[in-house]
Amino acid sequence: MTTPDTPAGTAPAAPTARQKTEHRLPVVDIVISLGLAALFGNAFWIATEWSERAGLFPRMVTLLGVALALLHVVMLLLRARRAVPVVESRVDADDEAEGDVEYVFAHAGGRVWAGSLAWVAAFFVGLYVVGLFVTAPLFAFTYLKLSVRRSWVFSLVYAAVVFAVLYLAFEVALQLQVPPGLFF
Amino acid sequence: MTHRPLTALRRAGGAAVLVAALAACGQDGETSGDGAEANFYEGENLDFVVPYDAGGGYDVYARAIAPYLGECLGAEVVVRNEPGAGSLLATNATAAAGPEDRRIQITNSVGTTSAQIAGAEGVMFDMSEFSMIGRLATAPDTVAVAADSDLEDFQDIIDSEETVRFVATGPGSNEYIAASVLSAIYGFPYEVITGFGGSGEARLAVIAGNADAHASTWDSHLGAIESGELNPVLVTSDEPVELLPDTPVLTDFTPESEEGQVLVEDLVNLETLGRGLVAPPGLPENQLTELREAFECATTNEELIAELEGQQRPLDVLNGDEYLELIESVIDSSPEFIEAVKASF
Amino acid sequence: MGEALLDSLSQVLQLQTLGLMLLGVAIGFVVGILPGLGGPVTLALMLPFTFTMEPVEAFAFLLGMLVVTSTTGDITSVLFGIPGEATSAAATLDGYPLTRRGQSGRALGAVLFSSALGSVFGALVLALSVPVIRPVVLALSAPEFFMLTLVGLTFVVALSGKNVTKGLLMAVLGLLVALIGIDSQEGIPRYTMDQIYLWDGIPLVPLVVGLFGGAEVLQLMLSRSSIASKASDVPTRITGVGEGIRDTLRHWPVVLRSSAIGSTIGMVPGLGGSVAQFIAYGQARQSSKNPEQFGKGAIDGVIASGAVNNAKDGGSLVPTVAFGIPGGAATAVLLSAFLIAGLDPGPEMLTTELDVTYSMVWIVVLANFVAVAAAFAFLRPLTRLTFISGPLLVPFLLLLLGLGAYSSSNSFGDVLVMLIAAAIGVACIRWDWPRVPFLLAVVLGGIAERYLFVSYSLFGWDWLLRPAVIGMAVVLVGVFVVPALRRLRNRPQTAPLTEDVRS
Repeated sequence: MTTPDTPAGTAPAAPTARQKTEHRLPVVDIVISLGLAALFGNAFWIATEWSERAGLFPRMVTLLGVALALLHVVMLLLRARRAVPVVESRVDADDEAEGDVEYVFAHAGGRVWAGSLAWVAAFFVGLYVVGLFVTAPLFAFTYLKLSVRRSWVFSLVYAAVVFAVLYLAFEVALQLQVPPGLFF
Repeated sequence: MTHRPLTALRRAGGAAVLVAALAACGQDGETSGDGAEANFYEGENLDFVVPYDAGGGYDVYARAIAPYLGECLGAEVVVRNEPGAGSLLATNATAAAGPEDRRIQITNSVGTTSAQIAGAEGVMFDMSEFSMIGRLATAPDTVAVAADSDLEDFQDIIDSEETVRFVATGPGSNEYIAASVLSAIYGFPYEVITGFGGSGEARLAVIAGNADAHASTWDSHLGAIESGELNPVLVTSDEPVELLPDTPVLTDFTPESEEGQVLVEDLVNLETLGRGLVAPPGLPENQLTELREAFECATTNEELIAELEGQQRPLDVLNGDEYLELIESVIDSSPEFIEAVKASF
Repeated sequence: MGEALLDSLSQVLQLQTLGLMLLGVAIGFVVGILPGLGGPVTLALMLPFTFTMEPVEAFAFLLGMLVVTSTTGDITSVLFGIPGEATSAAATLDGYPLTRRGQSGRALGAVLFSSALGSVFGALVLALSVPVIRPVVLALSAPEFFMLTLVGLTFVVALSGKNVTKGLLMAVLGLLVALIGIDSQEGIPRYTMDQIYLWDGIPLVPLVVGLFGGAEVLQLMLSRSSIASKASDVPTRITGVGEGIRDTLRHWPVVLRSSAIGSTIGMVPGLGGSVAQFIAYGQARQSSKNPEQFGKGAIDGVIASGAVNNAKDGGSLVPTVAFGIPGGAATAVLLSAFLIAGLDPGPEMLTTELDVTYSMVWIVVLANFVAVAAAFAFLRPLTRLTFISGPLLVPFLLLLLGLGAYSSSNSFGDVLVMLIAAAIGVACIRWDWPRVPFLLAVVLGGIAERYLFVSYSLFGWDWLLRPAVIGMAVVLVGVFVVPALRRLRNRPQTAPLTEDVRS
């Protein structure tokens, strides 16, 4: 949960490129593992306050976690020392699918990241504040118009269709609850 | 889908009646202030909150009564499921809601009231402070054993020298409370095995003979009783349940101690709390009256009564004042009873 | 029995019954496609409409709806990488990579056709086992479930990909997440951070939707290409449905095994579909000729997850019909439909009401075939979606994410869980940590603990001596030790060096 998911894709991408010919120290993996070790350690500490039956599993799990995370760090360090400067042998045919998404995440520029995350944030904040029926068409319109740069007509029609479908399906037909927003 | 036109028709009918009533009001002269406020819910959306997932007993009751309530109020009553923390989440939210929120809730009053008197964690409400609309139905816990069990009736459980093993999903559940209070009353040795994923799974452990007894609402047992797998031995109430007329009730078994007598009374009170209908605390008088009248109007509707009978989910109505009194009496239970309930958390 | 089967078929084929079934199928179809909105909720919504129906009509409507939701849930998983149901998570693992390669037609063909086959299997189990099933269901109890969760957890190793240590770490993180909530032994809130919302634990649907769907949507936003951007031969082979069907037939042992797993786990109240899918997926990988393709677009993985989902529905009807004990929320609603219709579950369903039981069998089969046929008709336009520009889909997919999460318990907490899960999913892909072991551990962790305690409470240490437990322990040892030995023998000592970490 505390995995550092810093959206600044540029920062970790840089070292990988630079260290291709040196000993490759997988900094991010080490940081993640240490973070996990800290998380498990903290969870273990919390679990010590519980009774034996309620605490048994948590203590076992968290201890195992701390041990594994530290072991992983040691393994990474050992391997980095030993490793020959291997040219990155990325065989894309071998793992196209994941590798491809990974490639996108690793190579999207900082501005693209910031932009995309801002749109996502806008959508969910909108969902929280003004509810689904306002957010959905509004987001569809602004996103298509401003980010995808489609025509006015296209964006408006898309937004209208989104609203109509949502309204008919959730409000009229099924009467299901949707995020209402703060003021309704 | 054959149902929808019917509901719509009924709604239209209800609206017509309301219009007529309003017209009649108008003729009485200027009832400006009162008249306007008396119809706080009319023409509005009213959230009817079910504190559990869709599909359970509370949900079925709520969905059955909602259209009738809507008709009587002239409002659009929309059922909302807000599951979480065994109904505490939604009940806390209702307690925190204001009178202007147009929110009512069906409550597992047995569970919430016992959580309150046990001082359990997570309780942020006082059951007696809710604006009581009334009680819809009772759901007294019923002790059932496997059809081929050595324990043939409740007397066998009372006389048992060996530990009677009950099943429950977890501490604090209605199942757990009923088992531990029963043991406190009759003094038989007991154990509650918890950790089952659901009440069906717990019941299966009893049928398989891995545990002895399961105390759960009578309607949740019904399927297994009718399939001949379970034998109901006790309804924790002072009168039989309509659909299990031959099952003995708690007051049939007189405990030896005087303290036991008191506990019996307290448990009967608790179990008859059943499924209530409440609104946020501090509702203005006229709003509460509007809701209570609609409740009476809906629960006396023959069509609703027949519909619920057909679903084997009968009504057992108390009006708001009676219900409040009952809840207050449970909150004032004897210290011994409160101790016994606390043991379940 | 043959007579009863035919008799019940003619009942189901009545015009009105069939019409109601089709209506149910249509509703179930849409509900299945929408993430989050699941079978049980829809059944509960539709229950009031059945008050006026005949028993067989009511079942045609409700059951038709229910079995179709798990079929069409896989469509969203395969096309967009957003699981349509919590039970459709496994279908994303290989179905979505296939889609990205432009083979969505093939993947959908395989997942739908195997679903249909799985449903037939489940229905057969229902038809054949109802008379004899009682001892089996009663013999399986907490100890067996516990062992089954252990078997499931061993797949963590297989599903970790290249780096087993990372996989194990993610699994332990999953176990920790599974511990969140009120503990079932003493009622202590664990790791709930003083949030009552977390008392019931982390909800599975938002977690699954975020973990898998979140990353895919973000990926589309960043790359601004179509989903199937990896396809080299875009418009020429847009469907490939036939290929998927042929794949399914070719991999018939996978279909059989997954269906058997699905219907068995469905039959015993307790574990349910979210567990079954991973056990089926794990075994498909174990027995596959090309396990390294799993997670990257292995067609047998898609087939396994399709078959298991639908076989489980037939199985889950068994305890409902035979004992009046529903295995899950959806069957609980069906049980109330039973009672409303004036039917008593139990022995009567096998004697005087046998035709009703068999009509359920027919409904399961017919509804699935109708749904799959309808889905095939829509496949062309659906697969086209994956070729249009990604950003155009973004508003729509974000909506699916938001609604899918929110409808889990109608709370904004669900959306928050989804977003956190999405962040974890993105981080996992970015830095090459496996997501599947995490999810597997979340699903199995809490259950494992509960069943261990229940086993001990019910049987003391004797639970270790139950035959089924010993049997599964043997399997477990086999699963673990044999491949390990084989690996040891096949691999030279320098092996670790070749297995380089990419980061």
